[in-house]
Amino acid sequence: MSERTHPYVNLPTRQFWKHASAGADGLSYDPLASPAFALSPEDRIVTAGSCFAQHVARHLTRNGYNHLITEPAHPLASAEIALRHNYGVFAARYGNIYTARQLLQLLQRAYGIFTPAENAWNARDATALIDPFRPAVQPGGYVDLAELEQDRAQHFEAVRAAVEGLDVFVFTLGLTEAWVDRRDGAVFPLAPGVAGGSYDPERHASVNFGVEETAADLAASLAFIRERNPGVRAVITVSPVPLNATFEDRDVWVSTTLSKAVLRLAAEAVVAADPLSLYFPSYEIITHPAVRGRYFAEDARQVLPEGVAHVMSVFERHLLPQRPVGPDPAPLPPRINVEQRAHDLLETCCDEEMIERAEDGE
Amino acid sequence: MRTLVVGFSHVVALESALGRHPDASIRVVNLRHLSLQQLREENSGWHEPDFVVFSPGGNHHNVLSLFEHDVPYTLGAAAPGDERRLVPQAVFHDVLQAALEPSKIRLKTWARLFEGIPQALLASPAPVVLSDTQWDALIKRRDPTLRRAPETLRVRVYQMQEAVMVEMAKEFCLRYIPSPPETMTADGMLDALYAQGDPTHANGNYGRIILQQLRALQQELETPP
Repeated sequence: MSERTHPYVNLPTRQFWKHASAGADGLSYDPLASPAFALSPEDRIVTAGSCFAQHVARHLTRNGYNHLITEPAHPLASAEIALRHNYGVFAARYGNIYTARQLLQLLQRAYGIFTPAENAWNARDATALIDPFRPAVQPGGYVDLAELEQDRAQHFEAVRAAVEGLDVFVFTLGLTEAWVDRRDGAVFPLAPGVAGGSYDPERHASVNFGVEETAADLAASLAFIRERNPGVRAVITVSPVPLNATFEDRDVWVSTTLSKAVLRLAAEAVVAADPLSLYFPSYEIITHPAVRGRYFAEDARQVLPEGVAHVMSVFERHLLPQRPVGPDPAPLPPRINVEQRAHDLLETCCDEEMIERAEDGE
Repeated sequence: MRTLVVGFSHVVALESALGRHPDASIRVVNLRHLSLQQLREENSGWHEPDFVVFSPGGNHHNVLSLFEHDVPYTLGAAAPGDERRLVPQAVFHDVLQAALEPSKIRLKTWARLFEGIPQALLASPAPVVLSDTQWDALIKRRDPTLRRAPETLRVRVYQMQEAVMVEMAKEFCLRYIPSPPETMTADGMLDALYAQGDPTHANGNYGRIILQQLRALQQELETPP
């Protein structure tokens, strides 16, 4: 009897569903075989993207990796206050970046290449102004336009520092749907009217980016960064978090599957053409059928910490094989406690003055 | 009408004024010297006044802005060419709120203690202008590395502290007694006439004006609506 022969003979087991490494429950699933590159503990990592990117960023920071932060809070702010105002979440205080077009425009805005017509929105309660391009980044908003613009200038400086200082860019693609300004195509991370501003159909339009647009925007973003910082490596992921809402006239889950498919195809196209990029399968780890949805919270949308831990364990195993040694090499600037010195000195002064006054018989 | 003023170092200005112009209707208790428990044990009746005014401490604006920070900062837009780091006021508001949390806890305790009695919160005086001589004597000889912060910043920080204090007063249903405008310069600093001579406190002249405010409030409270 002749030996069976067909194209699948002798392929690695991971290429067969029956033998793949997901196991019965998917909890040890590791789809990454031999990534194009790994990171060293010294590599300065910048993260950006949708909500899921925050999980990645937090893990890198907590575990002492060189998560580059170029826009830390002023030392006056405690860690809790800094976090509330989104300092240190990502490299700079850009908030969530949901689409590749938003990423490209952030880069262009930071370098003065693009200045959107929309400059500021009124907060919903009209007591403050908010930045249309990072509307949720600062609870309480800005007191006036001058403050908003100065903070934005500071922010752009930090974005430039991140672009020029990073070694590895980890970007999580989140959405294809977005709201744009009809006048100049400026992309808003949230629809006007949601966190501020007001929706005007004459000025604001819904868009749903396709594969080619998304791939082109992502490739252009990476090219933009490498023009200023050659050799930057990129890790591209797709967020597993379903859409919160769709503006398309169809069910939100149907929109979600289309969106994730578009993002996955765009990521594949970019990575295939770029030897300095790799695709990291966060989406696949969380949504693997063997996991049976256990990595999603009760709302069937948010990813549970166990899911994030699984993703990051695979990320570390393959991309960060060397654990960092010692303290976090990318700390916030040292907290120089001038306040404590001031407090102590004022206490001393005041007590001494009271003693002097008492001696003067006052 | 008996008005009790309870507080710490800022009530010294009132004590000083009362020392010169005694007023049996107003008593000042400096908690550094007499506790509320001791006041109760006096059996003088002053633990159950008709009106109580709190001065729970409000020196944070000085702690945060009398001296230049190692990372010099500005609130609001900086002048062109100024390299100061902008701290958005929404962020600074939270910094102040956290700094004033002990005062808030104290205020909450006092408000409960004197429940049922009309209550007010007394502002701390505006930032003090220190002359070069005072600076050298009071600050430089103790810590020569400290530098002065700009007065515009000091005034802004003081105003923001006031805003947080007003929020606290609202939360506990207290009247708010602001620093009298006549004691301030056009720039919003404490006029030298009202400064004690240390970096943070007002003097008896200031206390006298506060006492006038308290008497006006006493009259208002005594007047039937």
